[in-house]
Amino acid sequence: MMVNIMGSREKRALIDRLEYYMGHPEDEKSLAAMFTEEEMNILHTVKEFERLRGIMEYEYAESRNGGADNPAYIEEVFERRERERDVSFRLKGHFVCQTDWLLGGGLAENWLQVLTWYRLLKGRDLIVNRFWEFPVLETMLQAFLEELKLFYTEGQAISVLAMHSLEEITGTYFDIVFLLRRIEYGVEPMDGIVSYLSGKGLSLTVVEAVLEDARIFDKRKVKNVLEGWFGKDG
Amino acid sequence: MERMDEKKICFIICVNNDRFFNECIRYIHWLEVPEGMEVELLEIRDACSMAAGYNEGMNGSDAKYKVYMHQDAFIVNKFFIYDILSIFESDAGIGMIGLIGVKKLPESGIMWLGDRVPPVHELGKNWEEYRYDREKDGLWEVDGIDGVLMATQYDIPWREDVFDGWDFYDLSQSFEMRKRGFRIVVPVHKRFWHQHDDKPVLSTWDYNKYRKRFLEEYAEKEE
Repeated sequence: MMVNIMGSREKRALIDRLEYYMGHPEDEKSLAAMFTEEEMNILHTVKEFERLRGIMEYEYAESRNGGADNPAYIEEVFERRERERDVSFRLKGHFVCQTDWLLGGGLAENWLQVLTWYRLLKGRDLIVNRFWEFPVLETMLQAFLEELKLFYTEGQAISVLAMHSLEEITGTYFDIVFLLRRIEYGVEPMDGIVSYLSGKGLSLTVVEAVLEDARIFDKRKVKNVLEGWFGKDG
Repeated sequence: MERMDEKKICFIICVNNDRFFNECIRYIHWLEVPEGMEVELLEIRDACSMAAGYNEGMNGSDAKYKVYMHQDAFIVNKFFIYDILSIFESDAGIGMIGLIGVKKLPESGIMWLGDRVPPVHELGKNWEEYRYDREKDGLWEVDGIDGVLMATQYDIPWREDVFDGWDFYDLSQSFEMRKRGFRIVVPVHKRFWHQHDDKPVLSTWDYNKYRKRFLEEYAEKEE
């Protein structure tokens, strides 16, 4: 498999294009030529979201001296969230649409683009802490980066490329969490993860990334059991 | 009131995701069951609200003990049934048991701004040998409990007339219980009794709407 990460035109192109967008948000004509319709949908919704936040900053500037027990402050927090509801769902919709399209290609370059879009939203504190799919995606993107490193250092395949949609990613994530948790609590069949991984063609690197992030308390115990089955180096 | 079967415990779960539900019941089947006790499982599909779903489940079972829980919660205390029975049988005044509660609900009605129990704690050593002891470990008396798991020994209707969504049905039920003179407790547990795969996200889009309904319904009526 050929993965051209450092010199990836796709990745560089997206970053370059986003950089241009940041510097020239008013240049609608050039932007329309640079970005696909779905990419523009994301960018327009991001802009709309930030405009709304700007308006709210101004409107609520007077009531900043709040606190968790101040009823006016509490009301403000909820009001803000309610006003962000519509644009949040639309932004999520555009992001998922673009992500699914990229993942559908099954290419490392496309995963890097997903990573770039994700970082754009996270860097601007937009919706990633509002929908449960995003922390899951972040974990899987971390797994992807780990696998990418191993691809370069050891030639290991990038197994996450077998997942072709956000829904598949979240489903796989929870399947792995459940299988790991069965090991933690001794719920049978404990070794279900062995056949699961081989059936899905996923690597132990993915499992380790999930184990790191998932709500599993006795990670050491689970890790020891996995090492017993797969060996220390997987 | 219809005669209830004291030797039966019913788990009632509103379901819209089979992946979670199947794993959830795997843990229910894994629990140790006291001799002579029957375990029943009711899955509620297509509920129009949590309270409506729970009413359907409540009315569909004659079990004296009922456990209303989320599909994405997994009971990892293998002796859960023993432990909640030991609590209910020790005190008929206890109406409901939760695994997360608030000692004193703040005036805002926001549970997580209050004095939450159990406090966040680390996993102790030798947790596999841990057993809850009703006498030694005791209970926290609370104003309300979180809906992740609510175990009852009396059937009290859920207020589906007011809470027709997915928020505040838990605190409402806590207040309905207390209105009838029953106490609500959380066992003082040294290790988690459940695992809940919620993510650190705040997606409570309708939370404020139901918070206001809750305050309107109960704020004036509290002593």
